[in-house]
Amino acid sequence: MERLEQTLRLALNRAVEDETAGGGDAVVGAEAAFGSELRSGGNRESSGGGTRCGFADFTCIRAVDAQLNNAAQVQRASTDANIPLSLGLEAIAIGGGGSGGGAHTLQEWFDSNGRELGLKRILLTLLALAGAGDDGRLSGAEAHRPRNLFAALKRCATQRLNFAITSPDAVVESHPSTGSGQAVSQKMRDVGHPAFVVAFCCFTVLFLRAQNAVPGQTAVAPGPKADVIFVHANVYTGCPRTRNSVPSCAKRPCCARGSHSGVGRMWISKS
Amino acid sequence: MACGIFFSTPRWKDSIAYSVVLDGAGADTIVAEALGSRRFEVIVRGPGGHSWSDFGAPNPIVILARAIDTFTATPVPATPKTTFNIGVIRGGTSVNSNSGIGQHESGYTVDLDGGDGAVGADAAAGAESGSGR
Repeated sequence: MERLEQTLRLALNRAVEDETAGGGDAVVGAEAAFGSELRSGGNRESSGGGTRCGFADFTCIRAVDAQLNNAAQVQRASTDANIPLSLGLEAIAIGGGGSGGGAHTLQEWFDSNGRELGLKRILLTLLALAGAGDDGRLSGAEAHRPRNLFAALKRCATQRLNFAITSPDAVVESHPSTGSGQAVSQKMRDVGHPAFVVAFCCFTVLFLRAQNAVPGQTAVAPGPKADVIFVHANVYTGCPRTRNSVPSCAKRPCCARGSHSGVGRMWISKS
Repeated sequence: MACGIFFSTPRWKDSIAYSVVLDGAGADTIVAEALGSRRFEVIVRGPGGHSWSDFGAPNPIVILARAIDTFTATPVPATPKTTFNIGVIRGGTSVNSNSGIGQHESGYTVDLDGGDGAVGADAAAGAESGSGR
């Protein structure tokens, strides 16, 4: 990367020299008004290491995928998870369900058919991370244990979780953010709003966390940090295809926070 | 971006246990590793001038085109996969003006190792065979 940056500087300098050197009389006085500049900004840091297979959230999503019989690839990509990952914090980025294609082109499209799988995946992952269904002494470190996951799934009336985590797939490199752009295709179905489901997930997590903080309980396990799960949603909101205004369908990040005092907050803001 | 604000505020950063990012469509991927990228904006300023009477003055658009041509000829390693992209190009005033006129800037953004999406770089080219003012 450093070599590429150096190459960029050299290419710019050379181009400037070539243009200003051979101008003859026409460029008299021109060089004073001449200048080039290389500005850096908007960088995205890498995680600097291998896949965070040992992270609780990674373990959770693998367990959820196993439960849902969903085959998912582990990838390296540039997403909104870059910031926490580069800080060494636990983070994963997953899709919002449905299908999409033509990423970062004007023909980018999203189809909400079959998005139930993705939404189930999100909900179960959040519940498992929140340690839902545990005996009231939740901690982030324990949240991914099979017992907790099992209880979490019982609470949301699903079946037993098969916690057979296989070794992670080979990491492949790609850009999975299909559907992250602004374009909305003709394939968009006239559907409900998955954002509401995401919001429901967030509030469920907040509720469960608050509920589990039983007042007067003394033997609270010392979790690592425990009380906040940061959810950054960057998904289509399923606008009706009759709507012409694409900006109204733009992604809306939402963030959620819950605390042991039972206070939960959520923001949904335009990006 | 909301994400950055949360992680630069100690109050939040120190209390967030997990982050779950929902990005794009599908249910068949897990991103657990962050791909880094460096972004640059290249700006070239010139004296500007008229296409006829100031012919020969250095033209920022030409310089940028040359720089892009030189830079994009750079070979990049396949392993580890390394990419670059010229994402946006802008600048210029009119077909009969040297683009560097006044404070106008010509610039393009370069995304190194950032991704393989084809971001369209549409350049409108104008040419005029001189005809005084």
